[in-house]
Amino acid sequence: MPKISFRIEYQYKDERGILLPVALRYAGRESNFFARVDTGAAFCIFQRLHAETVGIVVETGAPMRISTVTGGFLAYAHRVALSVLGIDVEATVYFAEDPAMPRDVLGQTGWLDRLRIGLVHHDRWLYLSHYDDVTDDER
Amino acid sequence: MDVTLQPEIEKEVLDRVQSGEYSSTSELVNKAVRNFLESDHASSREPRYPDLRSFELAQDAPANLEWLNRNRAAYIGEWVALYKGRLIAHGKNGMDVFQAAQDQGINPPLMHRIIQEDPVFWGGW
Repeated sequence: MPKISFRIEYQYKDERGILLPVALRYAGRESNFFARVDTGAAFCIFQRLHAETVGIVVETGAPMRISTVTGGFLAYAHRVALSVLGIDVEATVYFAEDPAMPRDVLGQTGWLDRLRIGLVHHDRWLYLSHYDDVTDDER
Repeated sequence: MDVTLQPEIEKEVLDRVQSGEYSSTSELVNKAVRNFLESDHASSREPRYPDLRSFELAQDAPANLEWLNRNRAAYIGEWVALYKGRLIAHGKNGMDVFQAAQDQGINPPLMHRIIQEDPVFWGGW
């Protein structure tokens, strides 16, 4: 039976989903916010304000139309550093053009694809390691 | 290889070449890309140390979430700036709220927009 060890264990408590505290950094500036883990989301998508507070001019990024079950919206790609529960990644993320878009999502490209992740939702425990972390078997 | 620069970057490049700092646009672009690649390779070799700030954020998360769960109804439609489970600033303009928190020495605050939750459950993207 395969075993995986993790660097971080985190008990989440919010019943509105798995909300994790995010530190987003760009050009020496930082924005802090909660983002929802969404294994079905193709990308990391954040509200426009979080780009503006670190000095990113949203429309200078590459545009992409993001589709959702309720419609779609335009977002722009930017390269940023994300730090979540002590695990740092550099990632291309998307900021919504529309300031009214109210959600922050940690999705597959740029976040989930950099991690090993374990979930025991019954007890609200999340386990995380960076994908490149040395495992117990490799020590 | 054709590369299209953003207008403001192109202007900066041309200004530097015209000032004599570089002999050509190619020299400047080659140097810039070489510096980027060296920096990128160097950072990928650096060992990863735990980020203390994000640990602090994780420690504060339960208090901040508790504040949100307790006070959500009173701030629907507003941005709130939180710090260690305390409300630092709030309002409908997120940037104003962020700056108000910074003015109080909280940099950065945890920024959260409180929205009216849908009566149906969120179904993901």
